[in-house]
Amino acid sequence: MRKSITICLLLLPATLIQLWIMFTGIFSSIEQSLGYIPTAGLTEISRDYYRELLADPTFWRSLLFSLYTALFSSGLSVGLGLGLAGLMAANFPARFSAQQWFKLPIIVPHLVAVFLIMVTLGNAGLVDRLLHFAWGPGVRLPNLTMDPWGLGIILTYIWKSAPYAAFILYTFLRNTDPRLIATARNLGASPWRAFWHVLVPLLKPALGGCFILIFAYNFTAFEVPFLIGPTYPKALPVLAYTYFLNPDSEARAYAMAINSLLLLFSLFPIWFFQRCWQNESKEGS
Amino acid sequence: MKFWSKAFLVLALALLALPFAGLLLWSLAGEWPWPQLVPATVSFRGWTAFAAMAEKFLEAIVTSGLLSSAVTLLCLLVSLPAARALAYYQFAGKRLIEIFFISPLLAPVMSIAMGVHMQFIRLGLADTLPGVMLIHLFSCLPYGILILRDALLAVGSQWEDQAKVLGASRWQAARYIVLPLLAPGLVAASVMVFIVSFSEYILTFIIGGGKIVTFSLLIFPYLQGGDRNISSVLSIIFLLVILLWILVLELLARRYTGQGRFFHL
Repeated sequence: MRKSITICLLLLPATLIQLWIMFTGIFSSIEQSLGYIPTAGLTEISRDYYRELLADPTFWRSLLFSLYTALFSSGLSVGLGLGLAGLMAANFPARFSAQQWFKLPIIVPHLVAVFLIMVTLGNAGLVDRLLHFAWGPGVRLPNLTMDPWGLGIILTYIWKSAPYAAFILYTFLRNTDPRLIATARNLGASPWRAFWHVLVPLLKPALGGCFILIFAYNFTAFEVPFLIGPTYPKALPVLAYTYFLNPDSEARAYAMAINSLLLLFSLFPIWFFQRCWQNESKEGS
Repeated sequence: MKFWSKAFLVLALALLALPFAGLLLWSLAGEWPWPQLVPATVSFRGWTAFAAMAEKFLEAIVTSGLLSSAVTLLCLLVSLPAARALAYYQFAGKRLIEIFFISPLLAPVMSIAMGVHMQFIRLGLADTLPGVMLIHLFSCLPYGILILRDALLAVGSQWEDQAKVLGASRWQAARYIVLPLLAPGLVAASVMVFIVSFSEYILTFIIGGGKIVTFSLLIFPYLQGGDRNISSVLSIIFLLVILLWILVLELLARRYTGQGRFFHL
């Protein structure tokens, strides 16, 4: 009995703060998306805002654009991160400190990362100049700002998240039993086969967890697509924000309708993460 | 095979480090016509522009630094008990509460902030420092709780129990046993939470309404505007402030525990 009181008291402060903000945020978003905004003189509950939003091609283009940039950036980040982690483990098995380099992009905020990517990988950036120096004229890198394909967004996210994924996966790799690989190699597996058929299945929960965390962030984050993304289609959070800033009170209802849909959509990453995690603890025990 | 794997690693590390070289070059570049590899002339234009507006920027840096430090402290105070419950106790619904604590990392925090904004107006929290601190705290809590939970799991509760068995008071056990053992975790959590809060732009803007001017808020239009000299200088200052915070925490932790190098940066 005393134990459960202790547990409750320990959990109480964090739970109360988080529950309050989350509940108010979600409730108020839904309320306003249904047209109940008394401060703006709207008191009539209706589904019209959703109906009009879902009939608007701008919304669907934005949704697809956000999904596309988030999927590509998180998929490529995890793939590259896995490759990096694997190669690090194979080449520098004893040098644990080497992975510290992967922490570097963590201290760089997204708004600075956007600028870094522009001057490095963009048109007339460092790599563009290096390519020109090495191969002469003919090869030019594209301009990354306002690019309708969202290359700048994807590259910025990869630069931020691939090292992070590598860092996490490398830590997991170091904690797996090296004898498993040795056994596979003894039985005649090539390094590649041992990696793909022994290590990757072991890492599956970590890979899934990494992927969904990066995906969820990239799908709903505002700064990067706002700074470097195209004006059409806008990423979904940027579209919501544009409506939010619009002084027209009905625009606010549209913003809240987008927010409510984003919140509804986030049930998927939460479910997915939960599943990866369950597998991990099952295999752990 | 061996060659290619090394080459890939070197390329990856180069792409990791190259942007920082670009940052330094652009902060000091005068004329830099395409396709030259290095700037043609050196200029301190970005730095003098910063010096001319130094007062405005310093004010924002101080605001940001204090705000994020306060958020970090609050976050650790709230996270530590929760992390303790998750690390050392078994109870029904533990998995559910863990998912609940992680969920802000998987949900659109910006959408929640836009919704909360209306309630904050009613409560008088919109456009105020406490309001901004609350929303920062909300977005930082998962980092605090997860990092401290892992740190507590790594330490284990046995040392604390041992100290108590040997007659140490609750406070003595906390001060002389738990704190030094937990120092690396506390430093890691403080660094992460500070970075998240210090880098935050959109939540500060939505809840602060432009009245609370943090460093991120102030440099945002410059990074958007495209003057590469000034953008580079501001980015460098931003990174320096974060590095300074990491250094201070390391030194503090070293003073209290007699060991150092926790964040390794």
